[in-house]
Amino acid sequence: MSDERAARLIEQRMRRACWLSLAALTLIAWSLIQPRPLPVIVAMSVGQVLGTLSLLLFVHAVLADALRANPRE
Amino acid sequence: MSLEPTRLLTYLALASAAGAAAILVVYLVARPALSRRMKLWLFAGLGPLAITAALVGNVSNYNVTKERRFCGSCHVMDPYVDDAADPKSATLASIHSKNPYFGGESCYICHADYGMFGTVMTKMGGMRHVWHYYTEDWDTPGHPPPKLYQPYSNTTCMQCHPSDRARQPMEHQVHGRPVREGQVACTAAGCHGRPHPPAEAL
Repeated sequence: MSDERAARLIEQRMRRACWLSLAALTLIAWSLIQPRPLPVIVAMSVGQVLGTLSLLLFVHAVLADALRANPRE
Repeated sequence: MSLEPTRLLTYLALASAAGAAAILVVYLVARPALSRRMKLWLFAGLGPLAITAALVGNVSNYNVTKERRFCGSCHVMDPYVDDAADPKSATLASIHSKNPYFGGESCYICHADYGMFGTVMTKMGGMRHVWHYYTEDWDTPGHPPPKLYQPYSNTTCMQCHPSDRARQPMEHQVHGRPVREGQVACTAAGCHGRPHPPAEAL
């Protein structure tokens, strides 16, 4: 994989992680501002899943970037 | 701005979420190059700030679900919540709500399950409440009011009001065993009164 393509993929993963995190943060904020059953349940279920996916994507992007900077011989 | 612990947790979670969101929005809109500095900002936004918002938000939400106003967010609970909050009412819910130990969490303290898995069972029961609330038409004329899934356990009352202490009134001496075994309710007619307003008043 070329260096430029790898950099594009890393940035793509980073952007997806950002979007997922924003969605999760929105749900959490909604449940905190309006503490009713439905927002709380959605935030503590869907919100947690989105946030976890975001973190995993971010870690994946960080590892890929680290490998790109220090390729294995 | 209230400084109660639960509110402080809410403010902290919101502040963390706002900080994380600001960093992420700037990255998504401005599309800067992934320099070392930008990577550190993204780490802050996707790492500590977002995780703090999630963890603290979960703790805050967990505490909020124990408050009486949360129970009252389902309109079918309005008569019960309004009565519990009425200091002039003579129901057990109102009397106990005036106690600072119960206060604004009187519903949860009386109706929560106890024991090792009590909290988990209580939350699962709450999910069941939500299911029934959204799947039934409570505004249908003649729809029965909400009721407990199981008879209320005297054990909950005896957490604070044990019936086997010395110098018990005669009624407890006579009915002590049936009360402890759950054959007679503490709220039985002629005993300690109604826990909530009667069904006809709802």
